[in-house]
Amino acid sequence: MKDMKKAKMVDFDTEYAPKSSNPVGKVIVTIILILWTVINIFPIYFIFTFSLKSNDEIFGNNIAGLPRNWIWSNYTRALGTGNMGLYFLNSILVTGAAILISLIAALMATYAITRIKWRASKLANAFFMLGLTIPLQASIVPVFFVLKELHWLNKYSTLIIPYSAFALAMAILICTGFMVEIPYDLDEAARIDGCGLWRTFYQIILPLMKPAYATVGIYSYLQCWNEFMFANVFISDSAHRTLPIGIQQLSGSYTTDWGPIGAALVIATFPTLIFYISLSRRIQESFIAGAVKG
Amino acid sequence: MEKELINLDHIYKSYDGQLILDDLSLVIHENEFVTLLGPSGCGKTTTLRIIGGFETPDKGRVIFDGQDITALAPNKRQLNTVFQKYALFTHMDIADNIAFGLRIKNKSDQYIKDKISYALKLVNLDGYEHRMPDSLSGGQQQRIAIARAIVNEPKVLLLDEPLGALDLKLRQDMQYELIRLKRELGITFIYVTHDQEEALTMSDHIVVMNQGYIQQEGTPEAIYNEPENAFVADFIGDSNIISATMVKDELVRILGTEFPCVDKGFGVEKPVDVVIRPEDVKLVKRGEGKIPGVVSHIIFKGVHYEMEVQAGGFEWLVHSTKESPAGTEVDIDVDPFDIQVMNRPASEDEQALGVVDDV
Repeated sequence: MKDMKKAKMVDFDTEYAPKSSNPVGKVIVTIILILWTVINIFPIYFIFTFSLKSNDEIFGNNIAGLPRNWIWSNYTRALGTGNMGLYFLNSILVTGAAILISLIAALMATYAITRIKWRASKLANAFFMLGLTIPLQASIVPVFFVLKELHWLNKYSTLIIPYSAFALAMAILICTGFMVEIPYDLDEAARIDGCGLWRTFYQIILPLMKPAYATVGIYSYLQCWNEFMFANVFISDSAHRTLPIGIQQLSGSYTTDWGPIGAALVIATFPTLIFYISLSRRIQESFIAGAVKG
Repeated sequence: MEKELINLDHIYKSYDGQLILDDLSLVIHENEFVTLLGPSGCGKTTTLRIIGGFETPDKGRVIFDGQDITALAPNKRQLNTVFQKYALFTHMDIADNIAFGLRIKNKSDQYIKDKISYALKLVNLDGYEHRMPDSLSGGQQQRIAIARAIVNEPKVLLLDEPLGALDLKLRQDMQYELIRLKRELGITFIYVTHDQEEALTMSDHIVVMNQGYIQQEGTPEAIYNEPENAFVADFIGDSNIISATMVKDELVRILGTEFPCVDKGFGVEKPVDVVIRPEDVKLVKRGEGKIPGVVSHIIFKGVHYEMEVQAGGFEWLVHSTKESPAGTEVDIDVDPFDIQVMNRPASEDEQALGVVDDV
């Protein structure tokens, strides 16, 4: 009884009041956060100022400061003589097509693997997952010979098809995580109403898979946008070059003008930043999707 | 009795070598509220899925209205299913959800519109056409699922634990709602549940299942008052199941004391099980009853007191509106017609089968 009385005496308001925050700790945390922000923002600042400088400034005493002369003509040179405008469009076309194809193919494959009952569905899934283990570099020579035999070099599709194929395994893996979360009751409810496989796929499953699109899109985008090896080996004419090759071409054999290269790098990085900023919330959501059961 | 509508004819079904339904035969009549009742894994949902066409039996036939529909696709059957988790299409509004099947059947816009408002009125949710499923409560979502199922005018509605995800109060309201719906629609309801109270409340006919076998079928009253074996007695309501000996017709020896009863045909000096419902056990003054005992435990349950009484070496469960505090010395008495005598199964297999051999 004594103990109980004691327990009642405790003043919960003071005993359990939120601890007054330690000002020193707050300052330290703020400093760390500011440092982290600077570390993250500096590369963007650096490449942007770099793109507006001349070689003298870049290699002189003004590596990190603001440009003394803002040479905007670096951009016009990159776009004009460097042909960055065309390469940029080529990259968008190739990457966009590869994302679209891999996404559509992955959604269909995942639907077949996870929601239709057939004997070899697990085997098919394992086969697709094998794709995750094949490095791009290891396949350059065989893919090159296949493309050459098919007279399929120097076209947009020369890059689009291999890019789609290499993005497929990861896309299927991501889509599977999302699709198994959709209750199978929905398929059966649709089936009772006379809905066939195709209709169930595009009227029920596709709209519910929307959150997966962003994740698959980001993964495929990163893989295709910066790809250098395939683009360098399979494309030899300038009309079908993509950005990474275009930037490499800007460096001359004897002297290199670094300003326009910086401008080209800014042009190439710009879409990635936009993509990330606009989809970052979706990406975070999609990483935890499947981890917690709704 | 109404005309025979569904006939499950010697159905066998197994998954991965494990037998789920073993020679199951069942007849369901038109306009009946039939409940398949049993613990999880007893095969009740499999039975429902076979009727619905989502599973095909390994052996046996499903006859619907005189026709063999064993291999018929689910959408070709005059049945519709209401799922436990509602299975509403969350990306469509309520009207589109309800109209989904009608649109596939290419019905006219006016027909669809009329049907939607009729169905929503029927489930008391008119005006909800343009709401999204996520914005509705669990009970409302389940009503929409029912509305979606009935617009296709099925002859039979299959309900797979539709109230399982709802809270107690809502579940009780929905039970009355379902009874009303069934009466208004005049169609057959086949209902799957593991909740015995739900089954007793709503059904015209209960089928108790265990381990792939039908243990007993009949009206709620028959299932409750005259369970055919210990499983049914134990599963439906509380009961005292006691090993006893049938001395002769209409006389049974329970815990060494002879009780007159109304059962016959078990033989002479045969071991049996008896079932006595807790509300049928009478606690009387010491010297006025058959077995002396002591109340060991008492809980107030609202409508009645639940007591445990140690008598004759057995712990009796007793429900009574009269309070007998723990420690009270009492006698136990039971009326002859409240003693339900059952054959004792010789083995576990036999128990699963619910075999009652003719003696």
